[in-house]
Amino acid sequence: MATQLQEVEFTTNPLQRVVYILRRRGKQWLVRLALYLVLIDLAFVYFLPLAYFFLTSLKSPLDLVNPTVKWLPTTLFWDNYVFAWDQLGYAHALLRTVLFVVLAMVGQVGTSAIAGYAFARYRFRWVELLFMVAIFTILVPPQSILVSLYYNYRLFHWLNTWFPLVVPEWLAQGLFGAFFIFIFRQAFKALPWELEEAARIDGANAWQIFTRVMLPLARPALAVAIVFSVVWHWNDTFGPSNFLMTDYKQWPLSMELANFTNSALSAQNAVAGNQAFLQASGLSANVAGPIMAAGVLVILPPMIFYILIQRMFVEGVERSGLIE
Amino acid sequence: MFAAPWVVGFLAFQLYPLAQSLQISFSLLQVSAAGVKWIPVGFANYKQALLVDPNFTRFLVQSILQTILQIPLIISFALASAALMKQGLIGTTFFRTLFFLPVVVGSSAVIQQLFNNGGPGSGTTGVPLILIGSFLTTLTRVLGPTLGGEIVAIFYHLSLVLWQSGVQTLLFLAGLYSVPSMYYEVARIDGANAWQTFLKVTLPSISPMILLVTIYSMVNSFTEPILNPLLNYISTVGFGSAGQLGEAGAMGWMYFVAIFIVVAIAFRTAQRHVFYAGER
Repeated sequence: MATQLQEVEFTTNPLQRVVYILRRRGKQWLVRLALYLVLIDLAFVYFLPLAYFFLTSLKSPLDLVNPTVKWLPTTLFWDNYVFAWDQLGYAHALLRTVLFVVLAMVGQVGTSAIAGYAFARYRFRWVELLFMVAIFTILVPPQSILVSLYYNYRLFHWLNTWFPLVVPEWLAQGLFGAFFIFIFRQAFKALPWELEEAARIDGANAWQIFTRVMLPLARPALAVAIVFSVVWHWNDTFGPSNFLMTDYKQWPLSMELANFTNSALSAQNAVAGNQAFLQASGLSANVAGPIMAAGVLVILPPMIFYILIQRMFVEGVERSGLIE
Repeated sequence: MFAAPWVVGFLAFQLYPLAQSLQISFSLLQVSAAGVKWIPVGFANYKQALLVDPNFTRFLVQSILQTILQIPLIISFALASAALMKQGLIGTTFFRTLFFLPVVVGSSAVIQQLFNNGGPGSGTTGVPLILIGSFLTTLTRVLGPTLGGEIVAIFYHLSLVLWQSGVQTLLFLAGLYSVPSMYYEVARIDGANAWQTFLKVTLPSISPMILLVTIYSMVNSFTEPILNPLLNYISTVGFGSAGQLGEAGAMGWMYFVAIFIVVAIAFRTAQRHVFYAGER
């Protein structure tokens, strides 16, 4: 087989060469086409609801009650966005949320990486037991310790501040805390020892090895942890709704969205009682348009962030040039 | 030293509240004029849940089975789509962005609700049926309600699985990109074909990620408040009209123990097959 291919490859007959190249390319193209078909198929499952979501956010109240309008709105009704922007207090809420998410993410990813490194590399007393305990904490639904946490935070005078939402993160707890430790532990454990040893021989201390050698090598895991931490904090309503309950001036976007959705829906359900709200929105009976617009406004920033950070996956190990 | 922040955080934000909830599960709440009081009752709450309550054991078994059946599907799907996205096809960035969507949508209860309620197939069917709605109604019409209904159910579950595997796909993608390309070069030089390379190089290299994803999927399925029948039931017992906080606490604890055993078994079994390059 191999010899036959070589013969064809080095043949001087131009026609045979062309046939050979076409045949090889053709096979590749078929595989590629199949891969694309599968990808497009899968993307379709995700894309269609999103498209519907987005198109609905551009429908005017008339389109929404019009049974002939199914997908495409007759006119692009941007007023939905104006109204949603206004109701969410978008400009301020966005700034607030970005600040909160960055604070929480830096703490969570940083401390989880440190803890994950410890669990992956150090042999200290009870390391196995401690790690099992850490895994156990992922299994605890936050609802089950809510009451107790609430009392403690009240004792600390932390209610209606950001402390309950940020301080646990800086101690590698918080939203899905131990899961991040797990990500880093797996990533670090998969890296070979030789690099660390080389660094140690070169006189690097533990902290230098961690920040200069190991963390850059675990870049894909780091990127994934950052993405998850950002998105989960961005969308979390459980923490804010319990610990920032009354102070709406500190609400992140997720809370504003929940609030807006609820009030819009209740306005729709009790048209008579909420004339003021309906008049302000200029809506008839259907509030789906502005609600969808608000949803788009809220998920847009994390999507953009993800598109920007994607390159970190790809550049992974190869670009850091340490593996050789 | 490196584990110190986590240990401190664990003691303050996890262990203490947990201890309190364990205490609750062994007591009876009594509200009186003097205030709220917990009366220790020993194992009465546990007996009540296990022996008297007709629903608890049934839901417990159901939620464990559901999890075990779902996980192989989610994992193989997530791994396949991650591998597809690493192929270097044109438009990978676009696809990678689309596949991120379930992560964003899934993490927000509000947006999930909007996705579910906004579509033409409003209500519980929601997202999945938007896409295949008309196709499936035709199918039901042609095949009759019994067979058609079955196929609809399969499609429905499949797209639910697809929508639940966003996080897993991303984790696998990170795992795949962490495999040094050197390994692949060596395999190619040794004359391995694509399938052999996948089995002998890719799979062992990302086995730590597979373990991670398995545990994550289990936890996700066990603690998902909407789909899990048992969690719903526990909160009805605890916060419903009866308000049996003690009994709900006992159920919660038994559930913890049960899922912890399942996860620990998975962990132990996997540990033997996982290959860590940095282990000695």
